[in-house]
Amino acid sequence: MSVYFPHTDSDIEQMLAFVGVPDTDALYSEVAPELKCGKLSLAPGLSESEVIARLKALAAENKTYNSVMRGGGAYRHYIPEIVNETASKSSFLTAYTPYQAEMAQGVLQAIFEYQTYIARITGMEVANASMYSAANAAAEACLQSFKPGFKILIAASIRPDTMAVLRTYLDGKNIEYEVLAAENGILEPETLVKSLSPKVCAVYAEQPAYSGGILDLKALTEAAHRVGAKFIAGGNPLAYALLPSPGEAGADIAVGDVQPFGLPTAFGGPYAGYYATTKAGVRKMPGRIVGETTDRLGRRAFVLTLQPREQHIKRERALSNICSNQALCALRASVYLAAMGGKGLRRVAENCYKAAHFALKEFEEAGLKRVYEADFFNEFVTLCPGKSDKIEKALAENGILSGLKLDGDTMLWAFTELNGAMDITLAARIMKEVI
Amino acid sequence: MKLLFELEKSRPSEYVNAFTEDVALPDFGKKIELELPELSEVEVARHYSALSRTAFGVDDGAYPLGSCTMKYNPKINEAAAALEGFRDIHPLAPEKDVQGALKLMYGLGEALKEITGTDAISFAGAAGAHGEYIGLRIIKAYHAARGETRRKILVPDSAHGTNPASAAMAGFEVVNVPGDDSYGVDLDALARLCDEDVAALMLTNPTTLGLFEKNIAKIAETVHSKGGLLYYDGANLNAVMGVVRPGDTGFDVVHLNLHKTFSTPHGGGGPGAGPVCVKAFLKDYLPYPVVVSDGKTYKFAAPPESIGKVNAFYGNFSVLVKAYAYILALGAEGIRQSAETAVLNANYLKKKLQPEYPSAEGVCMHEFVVSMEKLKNLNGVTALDIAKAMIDKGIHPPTMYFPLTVHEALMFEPTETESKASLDAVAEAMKQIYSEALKDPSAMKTKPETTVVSRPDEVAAAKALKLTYDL
Repeated sequence: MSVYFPHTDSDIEQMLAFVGVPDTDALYSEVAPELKCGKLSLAPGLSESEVIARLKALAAENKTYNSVMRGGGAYRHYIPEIVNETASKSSFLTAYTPYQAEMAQGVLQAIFEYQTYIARITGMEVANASMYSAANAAAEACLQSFKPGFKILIAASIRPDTMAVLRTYLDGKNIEYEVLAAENGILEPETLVKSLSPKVCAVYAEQPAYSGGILDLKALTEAAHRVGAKFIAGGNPLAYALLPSPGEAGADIAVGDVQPFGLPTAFGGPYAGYYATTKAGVRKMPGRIVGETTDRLGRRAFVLTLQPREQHIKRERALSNICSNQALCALRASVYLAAMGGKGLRRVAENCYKAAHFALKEFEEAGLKRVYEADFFNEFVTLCPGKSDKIEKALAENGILSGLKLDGDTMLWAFTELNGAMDITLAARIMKEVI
Repeated sequence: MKLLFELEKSRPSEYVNAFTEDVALPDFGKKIELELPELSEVEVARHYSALSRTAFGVDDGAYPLGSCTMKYNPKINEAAAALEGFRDIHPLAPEKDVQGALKLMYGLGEALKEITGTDAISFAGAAGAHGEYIGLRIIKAYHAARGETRRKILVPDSAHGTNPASAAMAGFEVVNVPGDDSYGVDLDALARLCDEDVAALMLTNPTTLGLFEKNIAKIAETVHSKGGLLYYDGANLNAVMGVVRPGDTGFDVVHLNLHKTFSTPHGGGGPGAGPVCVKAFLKDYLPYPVVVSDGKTYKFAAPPESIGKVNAFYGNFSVLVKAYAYILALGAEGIRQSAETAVLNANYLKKKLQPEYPSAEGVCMHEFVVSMEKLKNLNGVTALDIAKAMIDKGIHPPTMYFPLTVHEALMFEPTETESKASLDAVAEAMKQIYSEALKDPSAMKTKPETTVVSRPDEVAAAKALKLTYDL
């Protein structure tokens, strides 16, 4: 058994004597004996070497791939080692939420820098300290944008997990919403225009769409604004290194996940949702926010600000219940962006685009068909009737995690800078053999 | 300290090569180019090294922060989560490729069900407040399935702020339950407030005052007799794990904070994990997906009456790995001993701080609340001043001004991982601070003196709202 309390037996004895009780049982005198549980039915504790052996064995039951061509909201990118090293510094890793500003300037400044990065990348004016995930950030954005008597429009082309989470949160508040058809795998401006009315308070769509397709954010935002609705742009922030940002398009809120910025896929988490908005929208932005100020000697200082929006002050009248978020993941994203720089990030985004387009060409030559015509960022959908299982299996045998099977016929492929041309050519050759 | 955005431009490292094949990039219509600082790796490393020196973690010193359970985070747990087989698996990989991950989630679920005395679990919650929201939606779905629309959630006035906030977010009306003279739930008030419109009572046990709610059986009976459910806020489970199981004391829904009780690091504000455990009669309402097993293989499934999906994938998986490593290390005995030691530590420190730092009489659980009201009335030194003075002594201050029912409150929770010597040192420092406060009250207003900043102007921060470097 490993325990992590440092007391010697003699410490315990002295402490019990000081407190004035014969044993630790006496400290539970307020607990009725019939409520006590007796010995838990759990295995005896293990030594550290046994613990890690057990976990290594479990980890070995998972298959990892040399090459990953699957995305759908989780992307395998190269992670500079400095990201891992910084996030494992124990003063960051083991710190609490920075309520005591004097003891947490390092954490607060890192979050302030993260907010700045997110604002620049999304083209928005302000950002918060992070949300749980892209889906949760989208749900919060919709809740904050809702007005009684109005409805929210949601593009069908968004990630299915985001759609499911939106349904849960909006249904829970009896908020009316309508799902807009995906034509060509994306939300077309004409589709949106047909459903807009003065009774719409907000529109939610993602850039790129789940299919990988690129939306005309500017046209969509303008259409929403014409009827007085807010436009909420979800999306992969890496795409904004190439595409017009939500801010450039005029969006009111930008949400998504920073997972592509230095976070391992790790079976779905932890990642970090981002939430950015305009200066005008800041008081309706949920979550923790760091602001700059000065201290009593006039020195620059960072603090958690606008706390009166939050649960510990406002209780049931708070904007949201969120408190703990994904701070360490936000730190990872910042370190990643600091190391990469603007040029490095643009290269990653370009590589994603190029690898995906090269792959489509190779895959088409192998016999797969492209499903949607819209241009795409780093993901696309292919059709190969009845062959999805076969393709997945054949690629797996060669150390490649295939695109995601959407059904027996279609697959969603994703590419990053870690997918080289040789890798892609090999996948195409294998597929040609099995289809 | 300079911001990243204020550093001189330097040569970044080359992390990835350009794509080798010739693929044309179209004009995407991006008019405003993205500008991020270009920095060499050494500059980035020094920047974060400097920042980390002005942060303070559990490894840096005593952290008696009430309600937050800032216990030591064993290093082996980090190594376990960083294993390639956990770190590098895709959430949408075929289930046969991730049997180890699913098995881990299943095994952790079995352990947490045993520890809480419940029958089913969801790992979707990313934090405690998220777990609360999920639990309350389950309660709502349960009543709805019985054809009942119960609108009210009862919350003690000493509850964490997340309780009422989560209830409101889940579409409920919040009704506050006053405390009795000994800081427990006022049973008469509870009986009066409990009616057929009450969906649930949310309770933390031990309470936020650090006291075991000794009337818990009576409370459960009162709420259940009107058809309401009992919700357990697991923030304070560290006091009683292995001793009392919430499920055995009448709770129907329990959320846990793995980043408190089960030693996963706080990370400066997350990621945490807030699994939700329920009794058998509620298992069909859990969010999807849940992990199921036939004893040989493991897979995801959707409960038949699921409240839906509440998080992007399956929750904060890496955090689950760390919590599982912790439970494997402790085992049944270690879990109970950790709780007992946490309670012993709190009682020891509580007594050591007498009489300068008055708290409720009798034994406490894992935390206790002192009131600085007398000192404030005497010479104007507040709980905040004391907290700030602690920073100069290298101790992270306790939670301040909570619970709201105690004036000038400081809430101490030493946790079990603080040694006797460390507690003695904290007590000694507190005595020094007190005598300094008596001697020179005005000097307390400028503390801390040893940190990079002191008493930042929060009012100005909220007014000027500089939230990014560019704003």
